[in-house]
Amino acid sequence: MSRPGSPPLSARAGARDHRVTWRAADYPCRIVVPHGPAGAEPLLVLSGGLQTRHSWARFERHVASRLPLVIPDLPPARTPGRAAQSLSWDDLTDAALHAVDQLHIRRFAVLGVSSGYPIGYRLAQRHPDRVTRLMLFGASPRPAPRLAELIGKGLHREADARSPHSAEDPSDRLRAARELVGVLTNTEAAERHLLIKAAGRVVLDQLAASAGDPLIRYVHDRGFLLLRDPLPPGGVRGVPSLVAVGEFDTATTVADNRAVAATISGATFIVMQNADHLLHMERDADFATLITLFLDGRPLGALQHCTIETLP
Amino acid sequence: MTHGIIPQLSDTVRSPTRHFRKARRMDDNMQETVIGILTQKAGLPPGPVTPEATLTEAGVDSMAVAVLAMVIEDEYGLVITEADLSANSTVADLAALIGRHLAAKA
Repeated sequence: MSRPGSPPLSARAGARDHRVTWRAADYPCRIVVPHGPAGAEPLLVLSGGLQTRHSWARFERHVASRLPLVIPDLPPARTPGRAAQSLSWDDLTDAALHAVDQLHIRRFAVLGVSSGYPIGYRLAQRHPDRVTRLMLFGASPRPAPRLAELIGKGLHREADARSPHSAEDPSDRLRAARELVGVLTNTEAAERHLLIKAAGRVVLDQLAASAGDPLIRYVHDRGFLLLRDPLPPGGVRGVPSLVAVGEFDTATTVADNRAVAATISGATFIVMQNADHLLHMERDADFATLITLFLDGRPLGALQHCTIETLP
Repeated sequence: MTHGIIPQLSDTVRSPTRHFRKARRMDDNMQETVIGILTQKAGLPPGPVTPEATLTEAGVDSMAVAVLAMVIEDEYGLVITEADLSANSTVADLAALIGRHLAAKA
C-alpha cells in the first residue's frame, strides 16, 4: 500500500499529471486516484513503444473507480544524435522504480505491455518484496524476425537521417507508419475482425500525424533495445504472475509469450481469442476484467473466449 | 438501412409537413443506427450513449470513431474522415452529419 499521508495518492480523487525527476531530467506520470477509501494496491502501467500515458483511456474507464493507476511516460531510450548515451533496460527499470518511490508507494502491482514488459519483468525479478502481482501482455524473448528486420532498417535510417529513404513529408510518414503497423499487427486477422482493424487504424493515424519518421521514433523510444536481451536471465520467483497474448499476435507470438511465461515460477498463461497485439484496445472490456480478477486473486475460469493454463 | 427513408426534393414540394416528418424519422433512425454501432460494435457501454450526450460524455474515443468510420464505409459506402466525425459536439450531431452525407449520396 502507499504510505499513509503520501501526497500524490492520498490527494483528491481524479486524474492528474505528476513530474517525476530522474537523474538530470524529468518525465510526466499520470496518476489516477479512485473515489472512496483506498483499497487496492496501485497498479503501475508500463506502456509499449510509442504509447503514452494517455493511451489508456478505455482501461481507465473500466478500472479507475476501484484501482489507483500510475502511468509513467518513461523517457525514450535514445535521443536523436546522442546514440552513445542510450539508456538500457536497467536504466528504464530504475526510472520506473523512481516513479513509485517518488509517489511513496511501497507495494504495487505491475502491468507491462509489449516493450513495457522487459521493464515490468525486471521490477518483479529484482523487487519481489514490492511487486505484488505481475501481468505481462505481448512478451517475447526476442523480436520476431520481421520486427527485428524493421528495427534494423530504422537504425539505418537513424544513422542517415538525411537519406532519401527517411520519412520527411506526410506521405513518407504515412508509408513508414503503415510499414510499422503492418509488422506490429496481423493484417490478415484485421480483415476478419473489425476491432483488430480499428485498433490498427487508430495507431496508424496517430503515427502518421506525429512529427518525424515514425519508424525512427519507434527505434528511439525503445525499439532498438528489443534487440538487446529484453528477457533477462534468472527468471521470476515469488510474484504471482500472468502472461497473456492475443491468438493472432504475430509481433509476439503465442509461442514467444509462452516462452516468457515459462521463466516465471507458477505463471498463469492465457491466450485471448479474437485478439491481436493491441488487445487492450481490441478487447478492452475483457482485458480489464482479466486484470481485475487476477489482482483480486479470483478464479479466471469464467473468462470468455480465453484458454487458460498454469505453468509449473 | 436508412436509404429508403431519405426525403427527396419532390416530397418537400408536395407536402412540407410530410417532408419534415420524414426528415425527423430519418434523424431518429440514423441516431439509433449510430448508437447501435457505438455500443454494439465499438464496445461503448450503452448508458451514456444518448443523442443529447456530447462525444466526451458518451465515451466516444479514437477507437469508437475508427469503428464508426469503417462501418459506415462498409455498409453505406460513405467515406467520412475520423477528424470530421470527431468534430461533432453530440451523438445527435454525429448522426446528422452521417445523414447529410447519405442524403447527398442518394
